[in-house]
Amino acid sequence: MSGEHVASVERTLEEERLWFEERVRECETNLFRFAYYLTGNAERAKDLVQEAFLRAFQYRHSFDSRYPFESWISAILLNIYRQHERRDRFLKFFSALWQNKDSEEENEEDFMEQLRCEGEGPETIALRRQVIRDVYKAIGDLPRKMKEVIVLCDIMGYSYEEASEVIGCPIGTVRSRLHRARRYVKKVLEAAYGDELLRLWG
Amino acid sequence: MQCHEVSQKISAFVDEELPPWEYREVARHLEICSRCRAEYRAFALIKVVAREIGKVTPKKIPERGVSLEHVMRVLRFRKTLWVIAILFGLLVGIFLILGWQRSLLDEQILNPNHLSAFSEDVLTRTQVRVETLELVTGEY
Ligand SMILES: [Zn+2]
Repeated sequence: MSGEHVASVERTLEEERLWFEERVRECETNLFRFAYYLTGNAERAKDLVQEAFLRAFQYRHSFDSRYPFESWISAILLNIYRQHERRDRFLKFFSALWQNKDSEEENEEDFMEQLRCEGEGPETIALRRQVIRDVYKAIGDLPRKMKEVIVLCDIMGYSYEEASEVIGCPIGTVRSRLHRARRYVKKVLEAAYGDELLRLWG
Repeated sequence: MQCHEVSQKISAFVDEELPPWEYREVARHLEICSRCRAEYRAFALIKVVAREIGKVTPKKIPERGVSLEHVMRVLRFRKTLWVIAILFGLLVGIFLILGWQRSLLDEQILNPNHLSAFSEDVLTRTQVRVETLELVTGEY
C-alpha cells in the first residue's frame, strides 16, 4: 500500500472538509457561471451549485486526482441539471403555469443589464447588444445536449477535451454536437439579420 | 477537399481542433472558395458573440467562500419545507374525503325513501323501548 493512500485514509473529516472547501474556492466562480448559462437564472444557478457541492462532498472519495477538480465537479453539476430538467419537464406536463413567460423576461433583463458592449457609435452598440441577446436566446432554446456543448466550449471557453470530460462523451461527439449547435444559431441569426450581420464584427 | 467535406469541418476549424493536415486542407480551400469562407466567418462570429456572453456574470453572485455547513443547512431547511407541504397536502386530502363521506350521509338522510325507512325504524324502536319500559316497571 502506498504512503499516500494511508495518509488519505488517516485524514480526519475536518481536514477533508478544509481540503474540499479549498478546492471549491478555486473553481466556484466558474462553476456558478456554468450553472447560470445553463439555466439562465441566477437563483436556479445558485441552487445547482449548492447541490453540486454537497453531492461532490458526499462522493469525494471517487475523485481521481489525475483529473482537474473543476471538470469533476462540473460533471456532477451537469448531472444534477439533467435531473432537474427531467423533473421540470414532468411538472410542466401537468402545469402550464410552470416557469411562466414573465420570469423568462425578467431573466433576460437581468442578463442585458450586465452586458457591456463596445463599438463605434450608439447604433452599432445597440445592434451588437441585440445580436448578443439573440444568440443568448437561441442558445437557450437549443435541445439540451447541444446546449451543454455550446455553453462549455463557446461561452465558457473550454477545449473539446475538457468539455468531453465534463459531459462524459467522446471528443468526436463534442465536435459534431458543437457543429450542429452553431449551425442552428447561425440559421436563427441569418433569418433575423441576413448579410448585415457579418459587417458588424468584420 | 470538396465543399461539403469542408462545411462539415468548419466548426472544428474555427476552434483549431482539427489534425494539422486537415487544418491545412481546409485553410487552402477557404482561400479559393468564397461560399465556404462566408460560412467560416459566420461560425467564427458566433464563437466571438458567445465569448461576449461569457463575459457577462449575473449580478446576484452568491457570497464568496462556500461553507459546507451552510449548504447543508440550506438543503435541510428545504427538505423540512417539503415535508411540511406534503403533510399539509395529506391533511387537506383527509378533510376532503371526510367532507365527501359526510355529504353522502346527508344525502342518504335527506332521501325520502331513506327518510321513511328511518322513521319506520324509529317508530318500531320506540315501540320496543316502550315495551322494555313496561317490562322493567313490571307492568307485564
Ligand atoms: Zn467551398
